[in-house]
Amino acid sequence: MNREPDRPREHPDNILTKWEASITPELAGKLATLDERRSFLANMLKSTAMVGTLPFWGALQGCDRQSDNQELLQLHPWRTFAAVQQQLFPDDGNGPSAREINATLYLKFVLEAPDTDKDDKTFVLSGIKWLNGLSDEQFGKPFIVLTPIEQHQVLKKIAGSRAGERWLSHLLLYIMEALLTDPAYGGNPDGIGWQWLEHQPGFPRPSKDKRYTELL
Amino acid sequence: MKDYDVCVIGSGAGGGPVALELARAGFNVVVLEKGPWFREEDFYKDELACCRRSVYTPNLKDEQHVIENYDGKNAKGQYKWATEATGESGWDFWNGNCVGGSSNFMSGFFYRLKPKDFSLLSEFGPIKGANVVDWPIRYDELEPYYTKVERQVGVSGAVIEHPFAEPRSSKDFPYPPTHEHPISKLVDKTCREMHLHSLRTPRAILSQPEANRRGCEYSGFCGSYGCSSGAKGSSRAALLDKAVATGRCHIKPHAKVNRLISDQKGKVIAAEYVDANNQQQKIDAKIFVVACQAIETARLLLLSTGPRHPNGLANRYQQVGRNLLFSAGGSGYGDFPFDKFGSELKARGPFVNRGLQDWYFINDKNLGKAKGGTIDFLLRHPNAIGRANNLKWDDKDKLIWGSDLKQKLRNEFTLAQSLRFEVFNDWLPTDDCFVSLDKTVKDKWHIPVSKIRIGYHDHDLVIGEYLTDKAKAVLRQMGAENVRGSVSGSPPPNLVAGGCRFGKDPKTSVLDKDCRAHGVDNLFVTDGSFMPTGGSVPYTWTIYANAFRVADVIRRQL
Repeated sequence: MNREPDRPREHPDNILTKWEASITPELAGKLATLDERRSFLANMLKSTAMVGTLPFWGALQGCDRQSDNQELLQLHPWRTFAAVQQQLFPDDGNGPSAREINATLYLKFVLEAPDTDKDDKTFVLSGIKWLNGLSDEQFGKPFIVLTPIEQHQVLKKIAGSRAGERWLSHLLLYIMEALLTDPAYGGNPDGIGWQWLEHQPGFPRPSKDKRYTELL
Repeated sequence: MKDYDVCVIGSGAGGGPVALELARAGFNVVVLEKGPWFREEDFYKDELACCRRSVYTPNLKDEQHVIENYDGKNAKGQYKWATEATGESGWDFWNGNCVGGSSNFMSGFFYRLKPKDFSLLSEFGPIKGANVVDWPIRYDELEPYYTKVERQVGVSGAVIEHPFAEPRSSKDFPYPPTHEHPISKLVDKTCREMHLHSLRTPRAILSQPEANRRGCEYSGFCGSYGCSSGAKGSSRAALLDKAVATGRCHIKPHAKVNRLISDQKGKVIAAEYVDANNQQQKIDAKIFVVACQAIETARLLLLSTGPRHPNGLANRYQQVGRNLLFSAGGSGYGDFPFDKFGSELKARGPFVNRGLQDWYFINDKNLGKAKGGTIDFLLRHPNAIGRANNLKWDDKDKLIWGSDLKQKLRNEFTLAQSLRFEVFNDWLPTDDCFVSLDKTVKDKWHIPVSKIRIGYHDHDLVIGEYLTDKAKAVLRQMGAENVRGSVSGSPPPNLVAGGCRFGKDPKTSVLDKDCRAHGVDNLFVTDGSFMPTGGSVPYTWTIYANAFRVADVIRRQL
């Protein structure tokens, strides 16, 4: 929460408008590409450029690559990501939830991958700031401590803006990857997503030391 | 003393046959390939590596294209073109930059052209706005090389007689068909009811082991994926490994050719390339063969200016890059619920391998006599992530999540098998589809990138619609639910040819009938660039066959 105490409260729509304004046309195109809403898109954009100053980069760096899912979920911003992901892909008795597919651990893998586009990384991470800004305006509390119903309301509000919809869509993309990628990447442990959707993987499958990042 | 007898630039379906044949004939050959050299053991069934990250293709920030897309008409009724770099749009026109090129990642649907494809202008007459011409060779001249490809690359299949079957010099394919999916029998039964000829699609996939290559292992993940058994007939697995084994073929990966240098007489004397350490290098040879896939071949020739070639190699009459071809057509699906058609349709691994060419030539009361095309049937692509990600949008293009999304995923993935069809018809050559050099965008070596105008001819859509309707009728007759299909003028970047058409007249073509550049005796082009018209099938078999043909020409010239 970065809002200064004496600053007048902003209407939630203003926050969303500002979020939208922070997205340049170039970034918007890139995000659309990443999300494959355009039918012709097949490949992800990527960059060899490394991240410079990012809002939560310190926390990201502080997280040990080897830390397991449970430890990771205690750290900021991962706790908040985990809460959002659990709303997007809940434990509802119909297949695995975000937690069971290691969605947060997988998101961390994506954001740390050498080929992940710098702008994409910034966009995903900075979304937490906007999310908490809106949560604070609506309920006076950060997202993580809201009730599930309140969290749902915040996400609904976010989805009503283009920037927010893009952010949620992006998180869903990486949830789908966590659900159905090879377990070598940290998501889909023991093929839990494949089993649920009765998806038969191909063979041979990559071992952890044969992930695509080793081929770049 | 030259470094090599022959320098081949590009290692895909156009380069492999030349390298193998000339190395076998005793000549020293070097192959310059821009990308890395992956082996069978590097290929896994990993959707992220294959299809969701740029692993086998360049990073679009390093190397991109500029696309000029149709953008309506101006007040005078002239076409307008919207320009966008692929680094911005993400529309990737690369198809596989590694040893073996995009043949590593093909599905290997192998169809020959038919005799009439070599003389479309004579057979069907001109089409306004299209640059249709007859080829300078006949089918009979290419037929022995189609047969050679069946053995050298390895094509499996079974000949089925039908009205438009092309002549063959051998009785049947050297390899029996690959194993087939249970739904293939339903396709056959339906086609019999409809008096159609259900063909067994020939595949560049070994159904049995051959030398160091294993037979197909039926992982169910073929198209878009590198083959880990060696069964897929990539230029790398089928040809280049054998060329290297002769001891006379040297493959240099990570060698990006930026220019061919020519002398005062106009002859090519060296290839200038950047190596893996970003060092500038040169190689000289008696003969140079360019096979970088159509778009990059045109680009390299345009970049290779010299004292006798001020507008680029072989470009005296401004023909290089013109009449670029893609494949026209469309695609669609029908769903086969397991509770109605049985759970045996869940099988993954065996191929559908069914196609129709009953409308390869059309005689229709509305269309008259016209060139038609091919319909192929296949299972929905097995990639799961892309499919799942698309389901997060509802019918009104609004995001859905939570339990609604989960139930939608479960229904889509578990209740039915989807049979897909793909339509291939001629992408007519026009003045609105061509390659040039972009004036501002450069690659990471500061070399101008290709600019591609991707205009299509309306006739392509008419024929595509006709064939799509036929394919949908077959699916409906099969009992499929939710039959849908669409036709588009958007080019499939993986089905590309033309740009350096061969012909008799240097003023209207780039290459002579032997695919030697007009006016540059030691320069040949052996990828799909030579094709003046595309035919209504995927191009790879024809590219392989023609490259074997040109290899014989080069051998005689050396």
